[in-house]
Amino acid sequence: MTHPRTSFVAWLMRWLRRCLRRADSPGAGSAADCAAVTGLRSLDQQMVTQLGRAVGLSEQSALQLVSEVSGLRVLSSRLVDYLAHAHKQSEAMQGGIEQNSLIVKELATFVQTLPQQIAQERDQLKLLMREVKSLAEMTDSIRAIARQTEILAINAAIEAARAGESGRGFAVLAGEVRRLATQSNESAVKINRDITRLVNTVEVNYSGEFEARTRHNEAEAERLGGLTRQLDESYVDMRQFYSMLMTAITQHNTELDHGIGLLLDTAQYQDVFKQIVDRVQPAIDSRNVVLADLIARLRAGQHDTAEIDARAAALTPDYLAAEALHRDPDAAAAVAPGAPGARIELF
Amino acid sequence: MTTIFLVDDSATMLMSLKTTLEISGFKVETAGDGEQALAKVKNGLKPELIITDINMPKMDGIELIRQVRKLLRFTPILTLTTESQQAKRDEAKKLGASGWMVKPVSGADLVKVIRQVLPGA
Repeated sequence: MTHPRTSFVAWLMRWLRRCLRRADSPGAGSAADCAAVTGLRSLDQQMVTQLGRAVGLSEQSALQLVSEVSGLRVLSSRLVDYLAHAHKQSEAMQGGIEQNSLIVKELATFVQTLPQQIAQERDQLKLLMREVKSLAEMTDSIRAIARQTEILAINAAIEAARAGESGRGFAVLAGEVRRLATQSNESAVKINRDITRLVNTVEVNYSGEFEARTRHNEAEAERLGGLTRQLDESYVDMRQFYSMLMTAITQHNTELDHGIGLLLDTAQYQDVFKQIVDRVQPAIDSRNVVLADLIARLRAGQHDTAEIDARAAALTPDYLAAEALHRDPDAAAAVAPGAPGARIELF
Repeated sequence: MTTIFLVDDSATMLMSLKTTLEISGFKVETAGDGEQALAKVKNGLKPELIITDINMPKMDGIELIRQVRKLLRFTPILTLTTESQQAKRDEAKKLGASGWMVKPVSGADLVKVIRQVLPGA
C-alpha cells in the first residue's frame, strides 16, 4: 500500500505538470498558476512558523509546570517541618507536665502521710497532757498542804500567844510559816490556772484546728493531683493527635512526591516533541528544492522528469530514515532493561 | 553531597531533571551545551557523575566525552538522548561513556541507575 505522504507527493507532481503545461498553452493563466505555487510555499512558511510557535509555547508551559511543581513541593515540605516543630514542642510540654505531675504526686504523698504524723504527734501530745494534768493534781496537793500548813501556823500562833513572852519567837515563826503557806497556795492556784489554760489551748483549739487544716490540705492535694492527671491525659491525647497527623501528612507527602515525579517525567516529552518538530523543517526544505527543480525543468520545456520523479519518490523514505535515527521512546520502553536498544543500557 | 553535572540544550530537560535529582538529595550543576560544560570542568568543576545529551549546538555530546575524558579519567559519564544510531552509541562507549539512556527517562529509573553507577550516593 502506498504511503499517504508518497501519494501526496506524486499527486503534487502531476498537478504541477498540468499547471505548467497549461502555462505553456496560449491564453493560459500562468500567472495564477505560479501564484498557486507561491501560495503553497507561503503556506509552508506559515506552518513552520506556527510549529515553531507551538514548540515555544510548549517549552514555556513545561518550564512553568516544573517551576510550579517545585513550589508545591517546597510548600508541602514546609508543612511537614511546621508539624514536626509542633510535635517536638508538644513533647517538651508533655515532659514539663510529667515533671510537675511528679512534684504534685510527691506533695500528695507527703500530705497523705500527714495524718499519721499528726496522730503520732497527737499521741505524744496526749502523753504530755497527761503529764501536765498530773502536775495539776500536784498543785492540788500543794494547795492542800498549804492549807494544812496555814491551819498549823494559825494553831501555832494561838499556842504562841498562850505561851506569852516565851512564845513570841514562835509566834513570829508561825507568822512566817503562815505567810509561806499563803504564797504557796497562791502559786499553786496560778500554776493550776496556767495548766488548765494550756490544756484547753492544745486539746480544744490547736489540735482541732491543725486537723481541720490537714484535712483541707489533703483534699487540695487530691484535687491538684486530679487536675494534673487530666492535664497529663489531654496532652497524651494531643501528642497522639500530632503523631497521627504526622503519619497522615508524611503519607500524603510521599504520594505527592510520586505525583510530582510523574509530572516532571512528563515534562521531558516537551524536548522529544521539539526535536520531532525541528526535524520537519529539513524535510520541507528538501521537498521545496525538488519542487523548484521540477518547475524550472518544466518551464524550460524539458518534460523528461524521471530524475526529479526519483528524487521526489525518495523524499518520504529519506524523512522516515532520518526519523529512525532517533529512538522511538515507546519502542525503547518495550525492550528489557539493560538489553541493547533498551531505554537504559549500562556498559 | 553527590554532585551530578547535567548537560543538555533543552531548558525543559535541564529543569525537570535538576528538580527530580534535587528532590532525591543530589546537588546538580548544569550546562546548556558541550562548550559551556567543558569550560566549567576546566574551571575546576569535579562532579561525581556527568549526564549529557548527544545532539547539541557548538559541541555535541560525543566530542564532550572525548574532551572531558582527558581531564576526568574516572568520572562516570551517561548519555541521555533520542539518538538511536548504533555507530554513535559505539563511539560513545569507545570514548569512555558508562551508559546510554533514551529520552524520556523516568526519575525513578534515573535515580536507580545513578545509585548503580555510584554505589555510595
